[in-house]
Amino acid sequence: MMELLEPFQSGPIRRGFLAAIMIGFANGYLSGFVVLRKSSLTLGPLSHSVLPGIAVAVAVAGLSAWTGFLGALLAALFVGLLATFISRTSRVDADTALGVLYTSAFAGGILLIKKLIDRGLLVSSDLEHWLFGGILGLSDQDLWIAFGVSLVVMITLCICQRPMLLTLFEPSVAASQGVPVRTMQYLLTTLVVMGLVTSLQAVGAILSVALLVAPAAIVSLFANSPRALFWGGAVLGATVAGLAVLVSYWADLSTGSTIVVLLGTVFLLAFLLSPRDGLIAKWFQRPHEHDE
Amino acid sequence: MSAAFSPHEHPGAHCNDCGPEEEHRLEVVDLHVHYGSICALEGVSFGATCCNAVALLGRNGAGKSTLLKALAGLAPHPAGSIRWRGEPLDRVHRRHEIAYLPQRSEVDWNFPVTVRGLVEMGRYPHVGFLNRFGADDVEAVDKAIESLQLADLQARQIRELSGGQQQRAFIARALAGGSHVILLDEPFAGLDIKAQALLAELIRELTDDNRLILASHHDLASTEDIFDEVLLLDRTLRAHGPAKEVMHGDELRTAFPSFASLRS
Repeated sequence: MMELLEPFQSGPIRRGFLAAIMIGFANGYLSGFVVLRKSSLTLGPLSHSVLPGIAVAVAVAGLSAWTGFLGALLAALFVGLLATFISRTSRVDADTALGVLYTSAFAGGILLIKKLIDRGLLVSSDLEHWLFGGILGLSDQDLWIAFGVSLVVMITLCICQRPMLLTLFEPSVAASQGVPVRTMQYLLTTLVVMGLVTSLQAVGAILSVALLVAPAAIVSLFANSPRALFWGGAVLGATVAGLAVLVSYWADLSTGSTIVVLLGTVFLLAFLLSPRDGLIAKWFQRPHEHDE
Repeated sequence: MSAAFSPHEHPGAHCNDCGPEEEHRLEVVDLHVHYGSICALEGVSFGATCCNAVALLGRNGAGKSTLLKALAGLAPHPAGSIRWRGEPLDRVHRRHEIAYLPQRSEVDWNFPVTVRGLVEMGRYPHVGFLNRFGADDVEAVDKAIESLQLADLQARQIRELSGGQQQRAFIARALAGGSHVILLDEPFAGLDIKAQALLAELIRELTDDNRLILASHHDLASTEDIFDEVLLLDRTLRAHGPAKEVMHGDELRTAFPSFASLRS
């Protein structure tokens, strides 16, 4: 029993565990919306775009929990909106524009951060922290920011759940009935980017998409209602992320990567074992019969 | 089908006592719809009253779906006027009185929603963003599910239904929302014979219950049995009238020569 509690005697682990559960919960909840919107592929580019924002913010205002957070948020929103703007005003479609913009942003971010390291404004471990996560190195302020952002995201989504669902299910029909579809779509993008930036703390820019997709992707193999998808994703995200912190402690692994690998493993297991959609269930099922 | 589904404003009303005709009349005047430089509908004018099932006939690309979409408010920049009960058809009307059922291929069947959840969506415009479902909302959902014989299936995810059941689930959503006009895009496509017969019967019950049904249709042979009126489209309106007349008229013979020769 004492062995189970042993990790919690260390401050960083305790804080990392708390952060993992909190970020896992909020992003797991958000992941339901990401899965319903089928927008997981655009998230990867957005998560890479945060890097130059962090660098510029640090150069302008110095390194703190807030500057990193705001810089990352603004950079991802800027790249996302610019891609949308380019696609609306030219022949280039949004995915193509995003492909060019996010790689440039990411590369620019690396160059800037290297310069800042040369000048002594940052240390080289900072870069690794942003790329691959540093959940065990979080300050209290980091935790409070993650908590506040998660709270705002979840409350907003709870309030807007019905119009959001109508928008996701049948956007054109919803629009004809007066649901502010465009507003809902921009709102959802903003909330997802906010979630992305908090999960940056846990798993880093490169992997942060995982927490925003995998939980609901797993639950979607079992769930029959949006509510089950959202809350199931939240509970699963929190559980897996918390567990991963402990696993990484016992096995001496990098925490961020452990979270992501664990999520991927659960997804594959669910894909095999789900009673309704699982591969194994399908082998044993007779061809689907409809009873009219 | 119980009479309780008559839209709230006219509880228990029957089509014979609708009152002045324009009250329950859909009036389309000089409707034009363009997709970019392509003209999909040109100068379409017609009227239709409740208690009728109207078939939209025409070849592919004749504008059947476009007309339904324009009525549902989904067509880009339609020109002309669409009036419902004497007033321009706006969002408020559409939200409460018009239900549009897309073609099966346009629905995301993997969306994690049960039959009951789908029918509940029909009540959202009445309930609002945040309010809880009241007793009357639950009752409306129950009744819609009951009358479309979906009670045993209400916990199923929508993909796990047969084509006919999926149609009925969407119609149940329209009923739960109290829709007066129901627009169906190719409702009979992909249904087996038994499901087609069920749907035909259901359309009859809906019109008996004061509703106006407009449906695009591709099976000329069954049109007369199912529908009261026919709109024959070929970008413009070619013919409109009682099904019996249009189906034996010259315009139909011109539009579908092979069908006409088969019959004569």
